[in-house]
Amino acid sequence: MSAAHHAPHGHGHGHGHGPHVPHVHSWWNISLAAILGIAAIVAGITAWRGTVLNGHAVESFTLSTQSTNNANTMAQDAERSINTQRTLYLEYQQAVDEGDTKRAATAYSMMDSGTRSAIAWWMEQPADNRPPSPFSAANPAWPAPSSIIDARATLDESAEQLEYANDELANSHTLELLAALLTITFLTGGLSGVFESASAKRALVAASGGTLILCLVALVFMW
Amino acid sequence: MLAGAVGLAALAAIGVGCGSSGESADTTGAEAAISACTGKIGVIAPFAGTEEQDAIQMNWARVSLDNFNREHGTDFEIAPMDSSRGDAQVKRAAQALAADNEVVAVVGPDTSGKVLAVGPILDKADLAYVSPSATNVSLTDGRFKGFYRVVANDSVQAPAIGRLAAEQLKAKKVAILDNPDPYATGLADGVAAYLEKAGVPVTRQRISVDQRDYANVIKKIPADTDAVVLSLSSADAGQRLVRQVKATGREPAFIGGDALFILDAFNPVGAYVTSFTPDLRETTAADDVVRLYKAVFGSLSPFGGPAFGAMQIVATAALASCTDGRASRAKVWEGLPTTTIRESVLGQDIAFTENHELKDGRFYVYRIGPDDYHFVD
Repeated sequence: MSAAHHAPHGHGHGHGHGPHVPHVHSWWNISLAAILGIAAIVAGITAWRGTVLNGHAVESFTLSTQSTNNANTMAQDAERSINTQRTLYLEYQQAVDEGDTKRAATAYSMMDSGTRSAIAWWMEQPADNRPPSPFSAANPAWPAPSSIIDARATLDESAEQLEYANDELANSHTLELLAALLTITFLTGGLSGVFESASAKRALVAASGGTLILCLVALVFMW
Repeated sequence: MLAGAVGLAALAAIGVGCGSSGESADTTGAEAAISACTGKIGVIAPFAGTEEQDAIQMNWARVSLDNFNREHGTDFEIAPMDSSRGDAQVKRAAQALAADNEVVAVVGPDTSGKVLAVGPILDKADLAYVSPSATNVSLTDGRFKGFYRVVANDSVQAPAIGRLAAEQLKAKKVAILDNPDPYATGLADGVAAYLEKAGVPVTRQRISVDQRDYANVIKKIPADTDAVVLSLSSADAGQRLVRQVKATGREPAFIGGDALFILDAFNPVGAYVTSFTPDLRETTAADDVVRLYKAVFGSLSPFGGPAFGAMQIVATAALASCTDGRASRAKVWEGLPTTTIRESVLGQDIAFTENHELKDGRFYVYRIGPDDYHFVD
């Protein structure tokens, strides 16, 4: 025979064996403890994930700033170089036309290797296949298009990085909002302990659990 | 609670897993894209002139190739051949390209007449050639095995002009003027056939593009004509004719064929003109390349999309043909018919029909404004 059979019956509340401790209260307490426990874990994970994303965002902002600077420098260098090389070529050509070999040699020596190759290709072409100047798209040795395309590509990459950083930062802010929403779980869960009415408890625990589920789902989607 | 924690851990793991697999896919794609390959791609297009207009196709082809090389890690080189001095020059160019074993394919030539001149030479050398602007219908009748084009042919242009006159302008009577030239008369025939089928009365006159005074021509255009189709091979003649019609106080709508699509030569404000090339400023897919072109050349010639697209599909076929770091002429010849560029700068896929026409090719209609073309349809 179990000890329960010897225990005195209570005064009519519930069917439990402990005196004056209804089963419903134990069930509420266990549910509440579970909800608050999970909420605490979720809050922790949310805060950690938010910090990680924020770190990614900061890293991406730094990289994006660096690559934007690099790209702008590359683009400016490419454009400056094109103008400089054109000026040098004009100087060179004028000196050649005037028979001033010393000046022509000086201008030629100041040109970069790409321009010299472009001039060499241009001079080798037969008259009926020669562009009006070495600085032509038809000159495969003219390096300007590829240098500008490279600079532009670097700029595009930095823009993508900036966009990624913005996205990460937005996600990190949303996670902070989730963490704030989780306080509703704690608040409603805590309040349920001070009400005697079963329906009030049920409503508050449901609100607590509902908020927790919403935050959980959002966290999964935000991951 | 345990189940909840396990569930959360599982969901978190799924989330982490998703991030990892996305990154992995990107890495794989990037690695696949980088594959060094060499070879030359010929370009037969004008570039010897001193005007900006003179080298538009060459400029776009070069931007396309340099951009392709950067994106794919290839090292294809352009082999430029000027085509501004007539058939003898382009024949020499084709022979030079055919003799160079490193040349695996050709972009061009730019006109139908030049295709007729170089087609036999390039075909004999098994060199595939993709024109960005040759529109004569007969070029794809089977006479040239290696010829492709990335623009619609003239059989698409006539209905485009007919539709504009009959449906958009709702013309009640249309005058069609052409000159003795296969392109001009062929286009005029097509427009007339379309309009007659649509129940729009048509009058026709054949004129000379060398004529200075068109008073006799204008006198024969019925007074109640509300649209004049200029199916002429000369933009200058079109400009003279429009000016002289307007001087008489008449204001019909003018519609020019694509030979008049030269803003410097044919620019009556309010007139319409057709073109096989889209305005790249209107094509979302071309935003990046428009920025590139501007960065390289300073100003923008927005009607060079077909040259960009022709180079892109040739370079793509060349990359696919690559073995041991070298592209192959024979494999480009075999592979080009099935090569496709999705969502190209032309605002559509670039792929070829069985007879090497652009799939779903179309013509574009523009209205001439004070300084520029404005896309209509």
